Amino acid sequence: MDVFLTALQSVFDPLNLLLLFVATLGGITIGAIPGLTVTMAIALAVPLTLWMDTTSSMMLLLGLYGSGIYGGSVSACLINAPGTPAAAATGLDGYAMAKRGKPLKALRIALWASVCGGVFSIVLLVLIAPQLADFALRFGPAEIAALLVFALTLIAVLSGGSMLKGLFAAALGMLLATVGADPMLSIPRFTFDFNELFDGFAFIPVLIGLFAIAELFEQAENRFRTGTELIDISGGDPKANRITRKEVRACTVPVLRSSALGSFVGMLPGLGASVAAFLAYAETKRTSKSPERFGKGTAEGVASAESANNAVTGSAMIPMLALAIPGDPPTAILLGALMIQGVTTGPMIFVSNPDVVYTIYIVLFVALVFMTVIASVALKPISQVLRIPKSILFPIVLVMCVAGSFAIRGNVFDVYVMLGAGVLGYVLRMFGIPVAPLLISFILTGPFEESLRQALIGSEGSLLVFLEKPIAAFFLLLALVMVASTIWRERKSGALKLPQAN
Amino acid sequence: MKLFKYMAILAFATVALFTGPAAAWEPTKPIKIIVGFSPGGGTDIVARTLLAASQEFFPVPLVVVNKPGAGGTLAADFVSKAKPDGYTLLVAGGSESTSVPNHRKVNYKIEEFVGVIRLIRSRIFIAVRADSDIKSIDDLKAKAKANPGKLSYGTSGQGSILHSAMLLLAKDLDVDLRHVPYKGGAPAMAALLGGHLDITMVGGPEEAQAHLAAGKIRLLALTSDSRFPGFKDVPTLQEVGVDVYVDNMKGLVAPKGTPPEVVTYLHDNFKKGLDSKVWEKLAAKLKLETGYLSGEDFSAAMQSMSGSIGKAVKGL
Amino acid sequence: MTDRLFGIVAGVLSLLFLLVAVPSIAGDWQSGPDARYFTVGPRLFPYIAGCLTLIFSIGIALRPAPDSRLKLFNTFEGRINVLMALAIALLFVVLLNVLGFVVSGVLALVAFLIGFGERRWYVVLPLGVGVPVFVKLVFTHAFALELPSGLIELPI
Repeated sequence: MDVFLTALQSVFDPLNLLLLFVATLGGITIGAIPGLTVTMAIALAVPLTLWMDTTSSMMLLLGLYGSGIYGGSVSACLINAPGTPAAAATGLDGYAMAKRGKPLKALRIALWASVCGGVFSIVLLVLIAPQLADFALRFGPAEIAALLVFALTLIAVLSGGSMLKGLFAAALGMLLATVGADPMLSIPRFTFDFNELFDGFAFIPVLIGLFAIAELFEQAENRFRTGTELIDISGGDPKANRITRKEVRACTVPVLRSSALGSFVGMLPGLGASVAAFLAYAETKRTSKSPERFGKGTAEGVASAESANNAVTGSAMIPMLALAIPGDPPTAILLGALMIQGVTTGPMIFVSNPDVVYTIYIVLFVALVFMTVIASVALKPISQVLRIPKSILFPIVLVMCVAGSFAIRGNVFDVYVMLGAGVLGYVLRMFGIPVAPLLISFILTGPFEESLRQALIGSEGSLLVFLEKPIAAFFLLLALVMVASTIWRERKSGALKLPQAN
Repeated sequence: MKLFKYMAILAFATVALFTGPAAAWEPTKPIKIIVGFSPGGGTDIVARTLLAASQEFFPVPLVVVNKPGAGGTLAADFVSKAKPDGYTLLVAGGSESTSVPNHRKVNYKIEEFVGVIRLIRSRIFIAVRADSDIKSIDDLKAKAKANPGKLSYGTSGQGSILHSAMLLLAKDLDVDLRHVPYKGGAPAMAALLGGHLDITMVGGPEEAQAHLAAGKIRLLALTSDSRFPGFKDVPTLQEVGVDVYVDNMKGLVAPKGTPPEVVTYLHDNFKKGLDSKVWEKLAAKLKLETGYLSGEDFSAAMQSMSGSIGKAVKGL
Repeated sequence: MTDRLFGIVAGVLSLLFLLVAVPSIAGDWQSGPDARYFTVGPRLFPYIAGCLTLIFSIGIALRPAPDSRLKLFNTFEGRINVLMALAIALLFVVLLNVLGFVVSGVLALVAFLIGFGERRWYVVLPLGVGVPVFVKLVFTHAFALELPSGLIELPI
């Protein structure tokens, strides 16, 4: 309890609250700008946390995280250009609603659905995450390695789109992760005598490159001309923009179900908010009595997609905190930010750093409150950012990315890495290869190799160790089931689909 | 009145002119203190504490610059090639100075630095679980002899000073142990507590404190040359008949070729910082153990430690 | 068709990686008396990763998705635009150590704005100079992070 009060106290420090306020505001703004993703916002903010204490840095990053995913819905609803991939599903009905002259209504539904999804998942996080702490000490190298095998199969089988391309991306991420000193003997691999590569490719430059710089190149193709048309969001009938009681009633069940679904998807590694949003949207449409209204501006469509993608924010923290497995790219960066603070997540965190855990709970809640306040007051002014032409916005982003990549290790080498990752990301996009599986396997491979080899030192090279330990065996079995069921499902759907394609 | 002012200025100028050559060097631009580890880490904290304590004794700003990577060797490499003008200093004395260059190829040598001042030392402990049947270094030796190559020990990384300290111990005891490197001290400690390791090297009293208080671990010995005031009942290795001395030191070094008067100036003013109330207060809060040594003594200590580690690594 | 091309190129690169790069990892690196490994050595993971990329690129080449095609990059203008963006970004990075963050940033930003059709001097100049200076000031003063100062040292 003392720890909780200390955490509460440090969160409610006036300066920290101001920081969270600014971060939430910034998150909504950045999320609303198409092309500037939440992931990127957090990655860019990480260098800024270097000088902060753990509480402040969590407030900055979590403030950006939750509000950024919501902010994506603003541009999705207004100009049909989702500010974040997660908001794509929100835009299906949100934009239709805006076109019918109710832009602010769409934004309000999105806001309240976001809050519901967020609260749902945070409650889940607070209730369930500590239970996993009991496992804490039983997770040795063998158990962690087996768990990571399971996580890797999840990425591989659930990435969506073309399975082959998803798998290729994951393999490429693994390959990139082997660059640098080998985790046991420090034997350099593919470093070409660059000592800067000894620790492998620095994560943040790779991330900034794959997302922001690749986006810049893609936007450069047509000289930043796409999606510049604007809607006057101050227009519309104020009464028509209110949420009616009937809509609230219609949305209650879909929002609850979508929050649950989003929380579940968020807990699984490799999926993330966009998958959650589309799943929830599809599920709501499937169970709706009038599915034909979807895509034409239904409140349920906006609400379910938006509650699901925000439910991911809280639940993605569960595996990150309790198992050190990031649920999606933003939490992967949060994980790195915690490492910078000297906090090792994983089963041990509830024992070793309960203060950090409490801080995260409190910050997530307070950030939601701030998000609600800011969004309801400032929806109109915020949307003015959309008026900055991309041909001006993106060059400015480039300057910030260069500064961010350099500052992370004080090294120009990392800026070249960022540029290289940008070219790679652009080429991959060109051929329709998804970047998310690459990124997640890039993150998971290092720890997997490390724990696998630690376990093998313990067992003197015998792989039986993974079957002898019950937890390890359980995760391996789970991985096997996952792969088998996917192959079975693929075959079934493949058999059904092929004739249709002809 | 005006005349008096001019005379005063003249007098000061004369004094300055005559004492000038003796007062020697004064910095005229910011002094950069390069840290080879991420902000928030142990080395970074030492640098920032020193900055807070010493700034008032310098006429120019002191700046901490983090250049993390490759176990601190990127920063050491950077400073070894910096201009030897006293404006670029490195926080050195730990793994990157005495240990890592003995394990793998790096682009600098320990001889390429001149010591400015040693600030702190951090003791290294050898820990086992409280329920372990290893109760002393003698037990460790007996058990390791009976099970050659079976006992495992965890460290914060391959080539780290903790790894080297255990190599020295194993060489002196003439036993074969199994090394399991982790990414940092915390996961190695977690693995010890969870029963996945037999022994863990602990890189400082603050890392052992909580687990010791909870009765989860036992400290067999420390590798230093004297007992640690906080844990008075933990013997040094030398007391139990093992001729090993390793300390994880932190101090300032400058690139080789830095003029002696520059080094003297830096030493004298950082010494003032080390003796200040600010340092005393911050060091107590951060549990840093002040361990002053002059520049020459610091260099000598690093070189002798590096020498003995080198022999153990190369199996001599 | 583009999928097929991609699969073949990626497959060849994977083969090169497996046959040239991985075997070049030093097996006998100097690493002390207790340096040993069990079952999984430093080369295994690179081999696994290389094999996987090879298999999946063959898969992509054999079963290309019908809707995959290069977008605007196919047009001459699209290609020029991307290469221009890349060239400016690259120049920015190359000049970092020589001119420092502010000067090379100003040059890159001005080149970018003008290159992509911004002709209004009252937009180009304030933004081109203001943004790098602002970023530099924020990084150095608000966050105490160094940005490259280059060979010439500016007062900011």
